[in-house]
Amino acid sequence: MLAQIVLFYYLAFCLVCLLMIDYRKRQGWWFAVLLIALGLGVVGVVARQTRGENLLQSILFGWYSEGRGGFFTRIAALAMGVFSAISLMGAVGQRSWRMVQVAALGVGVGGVTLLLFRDALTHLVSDPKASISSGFISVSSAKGVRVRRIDLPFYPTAVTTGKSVDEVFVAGYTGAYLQGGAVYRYDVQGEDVKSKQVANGFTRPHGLAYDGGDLFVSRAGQFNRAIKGRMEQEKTGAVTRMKDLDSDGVFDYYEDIVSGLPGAQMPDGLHQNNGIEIFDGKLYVTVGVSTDHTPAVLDLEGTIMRCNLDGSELTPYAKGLRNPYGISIGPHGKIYVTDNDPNFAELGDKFCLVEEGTTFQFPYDTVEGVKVDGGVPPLKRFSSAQGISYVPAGEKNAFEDRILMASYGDNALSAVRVTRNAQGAYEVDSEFVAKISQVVDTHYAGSNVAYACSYAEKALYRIEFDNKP
Amino acid sequence: MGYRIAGVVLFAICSVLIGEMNYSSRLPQVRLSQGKEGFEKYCRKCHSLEAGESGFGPTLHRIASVASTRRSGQSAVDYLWESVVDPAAFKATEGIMPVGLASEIGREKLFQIISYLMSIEGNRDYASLGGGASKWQPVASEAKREVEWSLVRLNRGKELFYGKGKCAECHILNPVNSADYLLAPSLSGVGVNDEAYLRESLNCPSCYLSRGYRFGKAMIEDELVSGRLIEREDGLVLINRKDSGFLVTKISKEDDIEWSETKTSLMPAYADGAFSGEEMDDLILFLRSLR
Repeated sequence: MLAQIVLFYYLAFCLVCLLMIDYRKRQGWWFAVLLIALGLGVVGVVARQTRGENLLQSILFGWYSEGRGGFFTRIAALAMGVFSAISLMGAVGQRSWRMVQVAALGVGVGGVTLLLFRDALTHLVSDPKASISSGFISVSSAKGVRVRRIDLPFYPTAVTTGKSVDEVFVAGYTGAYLQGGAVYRYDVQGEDVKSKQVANGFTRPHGLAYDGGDLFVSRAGQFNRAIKGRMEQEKTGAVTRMKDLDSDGVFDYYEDIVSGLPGAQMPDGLHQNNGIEIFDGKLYVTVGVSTDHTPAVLDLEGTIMRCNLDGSELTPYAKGLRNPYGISIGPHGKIYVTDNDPNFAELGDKFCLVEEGTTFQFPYDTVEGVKVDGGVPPLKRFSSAQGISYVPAGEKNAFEDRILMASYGDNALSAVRVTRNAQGAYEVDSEFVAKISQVVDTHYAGSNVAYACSYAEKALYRIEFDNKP
Repeated sequence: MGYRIAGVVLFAICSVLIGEMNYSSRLPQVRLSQGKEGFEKYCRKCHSLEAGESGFGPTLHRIASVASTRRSGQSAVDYLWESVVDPAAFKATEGIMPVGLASEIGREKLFQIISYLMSIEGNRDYASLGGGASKWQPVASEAKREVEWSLVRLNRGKELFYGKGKCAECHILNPVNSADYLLAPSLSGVGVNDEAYLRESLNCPSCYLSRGYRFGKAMIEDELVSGRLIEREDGLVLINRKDSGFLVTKISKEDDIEWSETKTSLMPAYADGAFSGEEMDDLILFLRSLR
């Protein structure tokens, strides 16, 4: 990022100086040569530091991948470069572009101010009534899809809805470094958005489900003991069921209905129990392995667990997964999960159909040149697949009987259709729904309303589909 | 005005060309931590980075300097690429590099490993690495055929690893810290070795002692204590397994205790019929899956 700031500053500086030089004067040529050498030197140094990346793409589009912060940084650097150039040229007796100079200073200072206070200013500058775009960056979406953005004061990880389509629960990290796990409720009625923290005290809440007034949170932590020379890792994964006893909207009774799941164990401490789904009176829990691509060691690693809503009869429903994240009932009455691919191979995240007793092929399917005989392969691999949620058949919108899929790495929400061909084999295709930066989870609430949350932007998106008779 | 516009256009074109030249290399960004990690995983078992210390393969101490002098007219980087990709092209010492190791590691990871090796002596000029990386393609002998592995057999092998074979009591697949290496090396990545090597290692562990692992025994109060031997300035330490932890025995130089080094690994030899032939095949298949 620093290299890009320097690059933008000097490019603007050099270009404006070159435009302002009086070439009729002898010394003007020397100055031009000096500037070109300086500018090219900076470009060269930055190019060398960003080896392997397309420098031009990085310059032009980096603002998008880095979110609003990157965008404003570049604009501010550019403006300050223009300001510096005009100031310098004015100082050495060249004609002064006073108006441009003032404007550049304003944009530069404004950009820096936005960077420093962007969280607070977002609320002032963004348009909460906007249907297509909100905040500083517009959101592109498919035809018939309206997207509205709501800023969050934390990094979201999971979203679900409560007793109405307007009551939204969002879990996430309110503190630094994955700390301060909490759940907020958002009442998104009309133009007013009310929010309240309704549960906290968690570490790493990665899954949410709602049933009959109770909220279920899939959560995990890290806790090690040093015993006889070795570090032993405790099993910290749990699903907590919460009740609102006094009907004040805040959950005040917590009980682990599932505990003893592996949790966020090392070496890959980012894997844990993630998304959960309630279907047909049963709770389904995704559980990751603690490694990148070696076999599960503990019995419950890499599984989908199923139990009753009080936690009883907890049994593995499927196994052989790596770090399943999203889970949802879907087309044909089946359960579907997404499973993150290993870092070392980047094969693409899996989209799997899960049936009772299914054994998938991780980690053996990660070995190059090996075809695994036995086990079930994924229905399809996507470049990125996290939270999923089903739009039931019969819903009156263009995405009925499809699974909404949060594609974190692709910065997009998509809709996945699962059909069966004449031979009975499942076929999967997907279509674009909306562009959302680092979208991590999604939930279809019903009545043509869905939600998705963006980790990078700390935002909740309300997505409304046009009614389809 | 014409001069001004020409100057700006020229400047913009040069900037674009520099940016695109950089892009055209399509090299991964050098990440030394990944290179070190790759070295530990794929190379460390046989190669040391310390002076005078060697395992199955020669030490790679000061390899950037040594490699540049191996073959006349060949740069250090080219030599290192060739040594991994085509080990038969030139042998500095006796020894066998695993067949197809370069394909197993992959072009980008190999780039990181060689970058790391080149950096150890403070060399940060990675530009020359690009040549080797862009030239290298897997040679015909390395082209991998797709093989079919049975999930049932893999799971049986895994059960043997954690159960009957008791391999996991000493070998950790997912090491977290150095305690996981105290008794035996991690087997993460061991699958890059070919089947013959794995089979021989199981049948005769003492024939294939891993670098850095020595074994010893001592009589202490009429009791024979054996284990992994670590020599220290003030004496030595013998480490063995006890329950789910370790038994650590310290012997000071001032103690009047006789000890000796043995060439016998703590690992039992499985050639004595501990496993059936089918079980051995399944265990080896499982080990080969560990990449």
